[in-house]
Amino acid sequence: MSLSVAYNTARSSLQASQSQMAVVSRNTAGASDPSYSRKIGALTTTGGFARITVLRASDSALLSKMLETTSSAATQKALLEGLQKLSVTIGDTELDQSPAARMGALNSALQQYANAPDNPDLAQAVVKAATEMATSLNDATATVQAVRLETDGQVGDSVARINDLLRKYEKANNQVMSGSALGADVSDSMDQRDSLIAQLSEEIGITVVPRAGHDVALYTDSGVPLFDRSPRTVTFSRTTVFGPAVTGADVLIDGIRVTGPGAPMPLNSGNLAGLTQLRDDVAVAYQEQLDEIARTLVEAFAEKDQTAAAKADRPGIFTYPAATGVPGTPAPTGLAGVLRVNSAVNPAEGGKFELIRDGGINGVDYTYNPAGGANAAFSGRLSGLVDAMSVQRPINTGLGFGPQSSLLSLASSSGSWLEATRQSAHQRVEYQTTLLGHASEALSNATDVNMDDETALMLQLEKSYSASAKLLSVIDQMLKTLLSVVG
Amino acid sequence: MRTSFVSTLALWNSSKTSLDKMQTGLVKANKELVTGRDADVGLKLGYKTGQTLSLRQDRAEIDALIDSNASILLRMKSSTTALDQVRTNGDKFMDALIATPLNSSSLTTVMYQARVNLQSMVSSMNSNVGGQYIFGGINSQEKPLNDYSGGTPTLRAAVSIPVSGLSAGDVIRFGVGGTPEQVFTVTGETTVDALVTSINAAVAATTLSGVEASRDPVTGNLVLKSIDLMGKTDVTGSFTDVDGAGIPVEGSVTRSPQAAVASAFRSTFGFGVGDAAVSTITPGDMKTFLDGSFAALFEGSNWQDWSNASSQNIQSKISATEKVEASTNANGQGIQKMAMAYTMISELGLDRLGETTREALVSKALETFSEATTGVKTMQSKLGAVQEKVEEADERMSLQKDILDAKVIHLEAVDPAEAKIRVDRLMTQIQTSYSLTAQLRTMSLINYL
Repeated sequence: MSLSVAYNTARSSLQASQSQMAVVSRNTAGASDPSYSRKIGALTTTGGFARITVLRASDSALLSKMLETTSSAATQKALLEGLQKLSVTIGDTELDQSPAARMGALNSALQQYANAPDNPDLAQAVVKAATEMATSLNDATATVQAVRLETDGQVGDSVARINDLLRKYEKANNQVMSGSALGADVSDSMDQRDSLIAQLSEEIGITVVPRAGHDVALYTDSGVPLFDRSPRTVTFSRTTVFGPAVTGADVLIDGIRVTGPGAPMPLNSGNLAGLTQLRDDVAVAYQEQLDEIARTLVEAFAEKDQTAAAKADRPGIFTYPAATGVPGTPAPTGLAGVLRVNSAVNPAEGGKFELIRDGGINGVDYTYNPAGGANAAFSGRLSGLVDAMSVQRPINTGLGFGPQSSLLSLASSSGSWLEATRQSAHQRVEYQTTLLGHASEALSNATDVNMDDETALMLQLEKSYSASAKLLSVIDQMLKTLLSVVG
Repeated sequence: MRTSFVSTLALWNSSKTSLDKMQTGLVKANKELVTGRDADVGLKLGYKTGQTLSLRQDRAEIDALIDSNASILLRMKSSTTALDQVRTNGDKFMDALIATPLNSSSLTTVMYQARVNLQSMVSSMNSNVGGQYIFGGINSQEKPLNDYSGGTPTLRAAVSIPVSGLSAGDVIRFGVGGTPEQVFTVTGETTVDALVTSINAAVAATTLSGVEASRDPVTGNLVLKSIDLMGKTDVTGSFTDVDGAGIPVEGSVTRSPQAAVASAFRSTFGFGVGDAAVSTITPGDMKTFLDGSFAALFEGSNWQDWSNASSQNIQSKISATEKVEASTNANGQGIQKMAMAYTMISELGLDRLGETTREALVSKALETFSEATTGVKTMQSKLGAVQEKVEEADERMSLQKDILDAKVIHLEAVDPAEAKIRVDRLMTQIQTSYSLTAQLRTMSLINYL
């Protein structure tokens, strides 16, 4: 009897409208959750019956693009943050607090002292400038090592977060797999899983590999499995004290080394990659430059034996604890941290200013002033020191500043290097952030909810519902009519 | 099929993301407008940061040089003034000497005037500027010229020999004024006082000569003092323990210009300046003396009786590339001759000499004076040349400073007008963004149902 068929169809349509309404209200509720993806109530009509299947809006190409840019942006951000802390050692150029500016101040003080070698006030100024020079290198070293220590802690935090996310991921993945096997609606679990992947991509660059049965395996961007049926353990041990000679521990995933020099499968992006790059490359390179500046200072201010015997050169105004001689290239690691002004020239520590002018910090053989210090206006040694600051001398070629540099230009080059690195990191962050903005906007447009659209749909459903309801009442009327005729 | 789709989230976020950027930009632009420099110079310049650091280094160096040039100029100007005074005094005195008839009444005045002028020259040479003796050469902390009379009465040289563990066979050796070494061998003396008695007894007995022994009350050393009252005699000595090596001790040489002149006079003529026999000196003898041993007193190592100055002048760096001798010293020939000329007039018994000898002396003095003034002029002209160089360097450096400043500004500064426009633009944009956000809030289909 076709009237009862019509009745049943109208009833199923009513049910379908209700289910679609439920989807609309789910979508409206999730409209402001960025990790929520739009649910689509797909209407299928078979044999006159309407059925609703819940689908999930997704775009795997846009998602992987977003993961990639998230990782890259995180790498550069981590790097930039560290570089910003390191650039404190340069400061504003106007403040004249960088090693290069201190070097200039020392040069000026020496210059003035050389023109009036009998003036103890100017000698005092030289000692002050030299002390500030040494202090600025000491402070810079402390800053570099503090940045490394902090970064090491952040690496530890990042590793802990990765492990935590992987555990959560296992749960979400299992829910999706078992739910879909049972034919349940797993779209919410999938949303959760995608959100975990997005969070993970901030810490570490990942590749997403979908498998059969809605299983998704995760690999790092270098190919080390992070999650494959079960989460792999990421291990790292923190270093508690950082000095220039200390090397931070490497990160291991499932026993495979992924950071540090010569790692078989090194990470390419993510917060973790940026942090380790900062800790092991940038900060170490900057420390090497500071050490080289300290070494050239010791070398430039060294005293030469003035007798025929020509004994080895000895550290002069600038020295370091347990100094045995003038160190050659490459500079001893951490020299910048221990460089200090020789107490022999500082009256506050029992020394004499005159030794700067006359030489002889290392004994009479190293005295430059011919009359053994009687000539109060002897400027030969001081002029020599001024010249030594601008003369080209061999430097560590590994620094990338060429084979030779003067003391003054070495300090400037180092400042240039740091700021240039910071500038390029900043530019990359800006670029990656813009890219990330586009990628997430595209993804959001593809998978998120438009409330107006949902409202319009709601109106449509309302009409469809009332039409079905009307249909039911009409069929009911018709049946009544039929029955009364029969009755 | 949708042709385009915008999620509500993307729509609402659209103004937020750009707003963050604009507000950061506004903070930066505000700072730049106030300071006139880029908000983050290092970030703006990148690898060019080294340039501005170097420029600032150069700038600091030039500042330091200009500063020290000011004190160099002060030193040179003071030197020139002092030399001027010496030269003018010399010229005036020479004129007076030519004009004055050399009769006995005017002689004492002339001699007195010479002595006063000599003193004034010495004090000119001892001028001190900013704690620095400007005529000391590189020995700038010691008075360059000694007073003619040496200032201190102790003219006799002495040597202080540390003596300890006296036993028979110990030996004390000493020499006076380069004479052959004399030896005193200890026999029974055990104390320094006993030694003093024995040595003085030996001198009285002429077994030893030239010294007088005493005990230093402070150190307890044995002191051997020259008995030459003029003091131009150094004493050396040593004490050798019977079972040890001798330790030689140099005697302190206390000499003064006056002692040197008197000693030279006495050794040439055989009597002192105050002696009546001075009138017997012939013009020839006088001339030989003046050209010979007297002239020698004002040259070479003998000049050290007068001067403590170093002949090495102060080397000063006046610009990044130039180094000059920016001082002169009291060992200049002009000063030596000037001292010689004054000494001739005042110290060689002008008033006692025979008339012809006196004329010879005066004419030699006049000749020396004119040499002296030329010498001083040479010193002055050298100073003048250097002074000009310093002033030129100053001028050049102040130009350089302007260029460096301009370069730094070029690197670091922002155009304030541009910054102001940026502030205005950003403010307008932010306001637009605010009103858009407000409109977006009301834009919902719900409101129109």
